Amino acid sequence: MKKLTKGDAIPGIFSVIIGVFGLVLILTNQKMTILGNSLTGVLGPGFFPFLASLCLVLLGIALISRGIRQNGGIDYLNLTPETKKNFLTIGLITGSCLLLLIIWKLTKNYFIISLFIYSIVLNLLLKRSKVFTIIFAVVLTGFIYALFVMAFGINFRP
Amino acid sequence: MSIDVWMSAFSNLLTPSVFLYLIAGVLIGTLIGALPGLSATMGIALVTPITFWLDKADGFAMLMGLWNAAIFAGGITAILINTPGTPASLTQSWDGYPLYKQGKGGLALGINVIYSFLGGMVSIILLILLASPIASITIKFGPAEYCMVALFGMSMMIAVSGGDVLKGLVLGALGILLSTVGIDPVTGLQRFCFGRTDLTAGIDFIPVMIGLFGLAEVLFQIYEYNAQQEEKDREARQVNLKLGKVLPPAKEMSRWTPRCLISAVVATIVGAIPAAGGDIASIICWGNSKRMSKEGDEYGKGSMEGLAVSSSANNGVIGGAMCTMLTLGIPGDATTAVLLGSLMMYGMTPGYKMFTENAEFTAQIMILMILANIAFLIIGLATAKVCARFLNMRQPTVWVAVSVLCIVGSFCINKRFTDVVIMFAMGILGMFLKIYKFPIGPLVLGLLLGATIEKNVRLAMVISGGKWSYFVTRPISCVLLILVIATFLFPIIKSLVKKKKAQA
Repeated sequence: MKKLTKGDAIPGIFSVIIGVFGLVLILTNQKMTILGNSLTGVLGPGFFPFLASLCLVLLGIALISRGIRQNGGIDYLNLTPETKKNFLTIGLITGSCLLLLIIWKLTKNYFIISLFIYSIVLNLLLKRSKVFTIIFAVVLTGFIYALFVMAFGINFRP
Repeated sequence: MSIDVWMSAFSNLLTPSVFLYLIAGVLIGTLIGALPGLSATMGIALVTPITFWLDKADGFAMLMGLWNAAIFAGGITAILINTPGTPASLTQSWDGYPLYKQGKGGLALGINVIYSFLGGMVSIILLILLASPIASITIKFGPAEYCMVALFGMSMMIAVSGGDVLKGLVLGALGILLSTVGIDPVTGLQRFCFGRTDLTAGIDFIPVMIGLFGLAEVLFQIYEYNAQQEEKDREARQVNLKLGKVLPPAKEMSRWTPRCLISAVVATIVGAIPAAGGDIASIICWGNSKRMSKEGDEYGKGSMEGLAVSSSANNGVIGGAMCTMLTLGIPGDATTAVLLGSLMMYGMTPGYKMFTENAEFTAQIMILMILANIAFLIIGLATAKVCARFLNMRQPTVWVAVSVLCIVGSFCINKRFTDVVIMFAMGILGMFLKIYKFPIGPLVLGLLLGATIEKNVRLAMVISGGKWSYFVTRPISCVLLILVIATFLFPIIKSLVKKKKAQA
């Protein structure tokens, strides 16, 4: 089982899941006809999504079978202590980005402040010095505010 | 296009704002190219949202300046730290870095600027001469031909990029599936919208590009990051060898020029082939020149001629890629895919109309490319030694700036929160795709060309009364179909032959 997680099997499984999800949505929606009116040559709105989903399933199966044949010979993730640490940083960065989006959506008016906090968090996660972090966050947020809010007049209300 | 169109296009460009944005684009492009880890595609994806708030000519001035400069500036990292800034500058590191080690770094940087300019100019002249006649062929195109051209572009991208056809196919299918999100153009039915009105217009291309080429790149670089190694590299860079003079001797330059002109023409042709890209063009040109040259043995060991040939090839690709994009609507590489998306968002449709209804704007794009080349020649030569200092910038500084710009940029195109979410999702997806060595090009092209393929297939079926044979009975469509099949079969046959040879 552990060998399966190394090669192309995992992306293959994801491909199958997306494909099956697409197929279920198409086949359970009566309006998403696949062939439409074949006499007039009109293809249904479901034709292309169906074709693409089916391709994803079949190609996903091909990827899984290739992953099985690889038998753990190829390890894309290559989890060394260094990459594990990097993955943790990635997790924290994506988490803080997600948090920024949630705060932005909920508060609506405080995007620039949220962005300032976000750039501070990011710098700290990437182990920059405190002085650099603050100067960088001020400059970057100031630039964004000057260019997008003042020059282009963009209102960052989601 | 008539002389009047060119004159009118040129006179309309003679405004301070156009020059200001062009120079801004060149400076940003030079910075992007000179910073390791940033690419021209990422730069264009991040700057495109800004250009939507500008006048059309100003916006494209910035994009053209950025693109042309970023490709030449990719050679700066190739020469000074042996890391190509763009795939097109791969061969520049083979001769440029040894030259730097010999204490001729300044000369190498000068050759990079001058011959990138030469390659770029030759390529644009060819674009000006050939684009209109090629576009006129498309008058005969109907839905079947347009569909096949789009399929051919996708098949090339799948077959060429990354070398893994199966993975390319998966992403191509995913791209097409994503392109079907939104209101069906024929029946008006909502597809995969999940009741959200902001999805009815479909998935916007630019946030996807920002996610795939911006955030994903940052996350992937963090995944590969090795703090100790970076510190070592920085220390090594700080003990910079002397760069020396920048301008090469005129006698030497006149000796290299004919070879470089040939390589620029070859690179333009290669660039016009969908998905072939700058790396392939520069390898072909460098390899051919090595075989033909008297000093071929010196290539790869610090040959100035070799570097000049590589430099003219990397910028030579631009005109070719632009030609395919403007005339057929097929991007030559990922960068032109983003530009194509920008063009479509400006309401332009690539093809014959670009040379009739929008002839003036098309002429402006080409003139802007010439001006961008002139601008980077001047700025590049003046700042060659200063650019070397950017190399000492820490990667985390770039990551934070890029990830913040990704969020802001993806929002400000349509002022839709959903676009930011899409960008974020694509960023994470893109990172895993890079880790699992999936070529991203087919996903981009699937999303970009999916709607074209679907619209034209359905139209062709209506015209033919539901006969699939319609695609085979039309000569151009039939030839293109054969090419599509051949493109898919070629890598399969190649690998089978390779296996047989290995067994024998």
